[in-house]
Amino acid sequence: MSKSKKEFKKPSPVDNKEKLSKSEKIGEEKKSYSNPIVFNVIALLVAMLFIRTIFKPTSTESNQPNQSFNMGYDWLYNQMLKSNMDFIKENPKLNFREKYISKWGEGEISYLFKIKDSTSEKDILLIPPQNVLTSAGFKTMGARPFSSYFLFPRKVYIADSSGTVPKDVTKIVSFNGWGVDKNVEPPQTLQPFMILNVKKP
Amino acid sequence: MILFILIFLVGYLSIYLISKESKFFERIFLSMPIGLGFTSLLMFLYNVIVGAFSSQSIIIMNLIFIFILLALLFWKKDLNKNLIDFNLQKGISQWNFWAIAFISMTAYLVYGITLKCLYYPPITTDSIQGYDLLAKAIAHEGKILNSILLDKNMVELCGPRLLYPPLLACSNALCYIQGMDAPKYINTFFYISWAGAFFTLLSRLTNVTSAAFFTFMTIIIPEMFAHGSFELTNLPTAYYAVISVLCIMLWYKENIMSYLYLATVLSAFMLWTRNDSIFIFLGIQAALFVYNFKSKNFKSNIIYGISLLTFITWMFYSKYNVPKTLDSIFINHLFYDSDKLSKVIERCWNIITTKSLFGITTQMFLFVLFIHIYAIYKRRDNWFLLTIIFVSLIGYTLVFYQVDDKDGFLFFENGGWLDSGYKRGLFSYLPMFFIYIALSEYVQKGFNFLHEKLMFGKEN
Repeated sequence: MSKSKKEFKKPSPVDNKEKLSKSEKIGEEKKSYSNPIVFNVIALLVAMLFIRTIFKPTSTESNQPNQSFNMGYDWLYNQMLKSNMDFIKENPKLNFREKYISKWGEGEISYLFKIKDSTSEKDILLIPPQNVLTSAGFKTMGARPFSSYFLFPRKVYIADSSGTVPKDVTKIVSFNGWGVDKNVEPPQTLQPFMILNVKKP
Repeated sequence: MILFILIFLVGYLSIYLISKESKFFERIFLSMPIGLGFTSLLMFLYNVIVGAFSSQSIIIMNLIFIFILLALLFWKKDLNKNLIDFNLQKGISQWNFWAIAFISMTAYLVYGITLKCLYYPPITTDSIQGYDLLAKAIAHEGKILNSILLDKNMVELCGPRLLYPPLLACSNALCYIQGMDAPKYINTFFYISWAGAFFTLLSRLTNVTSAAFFTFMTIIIPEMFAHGSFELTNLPTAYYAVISVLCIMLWYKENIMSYLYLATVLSAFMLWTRNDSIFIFLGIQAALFVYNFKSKNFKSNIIYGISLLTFITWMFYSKYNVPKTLDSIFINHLFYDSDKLSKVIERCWNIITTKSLFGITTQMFLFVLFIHIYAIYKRRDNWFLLTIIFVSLIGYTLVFYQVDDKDGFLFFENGGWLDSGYKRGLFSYLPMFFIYIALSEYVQKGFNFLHEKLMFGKEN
């Protein structure tokens, strides 16, 4: 088998052992006059120097940080990891929602949590069309998968430009008065943000 | 938490059943990913055969699976002290200050990214508008085919994210089923297992001195490190792909048949996570084919080919059950467009050599490849591993050439198919560069020399 595979010879374990025992013999001979502690201390210093070099900050010492060989490693260690670990150390007790707000800021995520708190899991929601959301300063709430993720298990519809209300919708999310003209229970006072109940037939 | 202990046991016992030759720490770092793979398969089968699952039914399924594994081990008379063959003294005797320095730094980095992973909830678009949304629905309804995956409009809006095989979504669902807010444990399990399995298997192919250094270099691939805290499919796929290649190399170099079986199981779960990992499968098959060609004995090709079952299963299951309105993003015939080809290759080259994304990984690989040209030509040094790398990487790159770029999204900067998709897919390939460097003739000789110099006692 090994003859027929001369070109693509698979190394046999026997060969490896022979090689190993040879190298071990050499190692044994040399160990007689070499001190592993000295080598280990030198190796440790080299390893530390290597680690220090690879994570060396580039932005402060070079005019062209983008050309530095270790720019990715610098970002990893000195920016991404360090800033996150510092933040976690300073804010160890943030709850789930506060962590989202710390990442994305107050905005649509807070409204999504408000919608979640004001509705039941069985509710089917209609969110205003993208142009209404954009004018209210929201970018991603109009993406149905995005809203569905944060409101799950509530079923979510995003209204189209015609404003048609799907039959199974139970609540309408209203921004800046959108939706009050639909078949909903009239609100007591008009608010910029409301959850409107759809009238039951 | 009991569910995760059971999943770990499923993984540990199945690895021991497959490979008696596996070491204790290898089994430890392979257990969670393999256990999660089997559990997601059980969830899928339960759905197909019985119906919706619950927390209790998943626990019972795992208990039955553990009982079967123990029965098989008892029947094979393998239920003995070797099940936990932990030899600390033997392990420590091979360590030295160099290895301790790199492993300590690696451990610190893994700790840091794990801390971040466990702290923040999911924030990536692909997770929120894809895998994790599906995970929530799986947990709530007990079904893979649930209100999200059966919603035509939702599938269209989420794009391919919902159409990947369900390993990660099922694994994430396990966290929600147990009442957690976020699926942070899953990524953590994968990341810790990733660092540990890479080191333990590579140290078996080389030595701890070399393995410690190259594990450190692999862990600090910047973009990949950042993904240690994201709940995306790329890191689990990279885990299964790269660890599978390491197992194949152990089979190839040391003639341990059971590692071919382990590689088959790992590749099955790789294909159960992302279908574009098929190129790794093809790369391994190509290397096995060349190796088997002269003897005309293709047994290893057939054994490894079994891993394709998960790919085929999901392909047919999703084709007939998931309502897809998406047109295929690929051009379904072969064509030649020199402009597009050169543009794709140029962009891919730019991405793979970008230091801010991947550090100096590619540069190191090319340098080591260059100095081994003579060894490769004369002695076919590491031809087996190089075949896997080049066949799979070329295949993976060319698939982007086949993408239909009618909307200009292929070359779109900041989030296009190439800039976003290609980049993340490379996680399965770049660690292989370091495996090659570690196993290359001159580098291995250098590290063997260093290891011998640094050894305090005689290696057992």
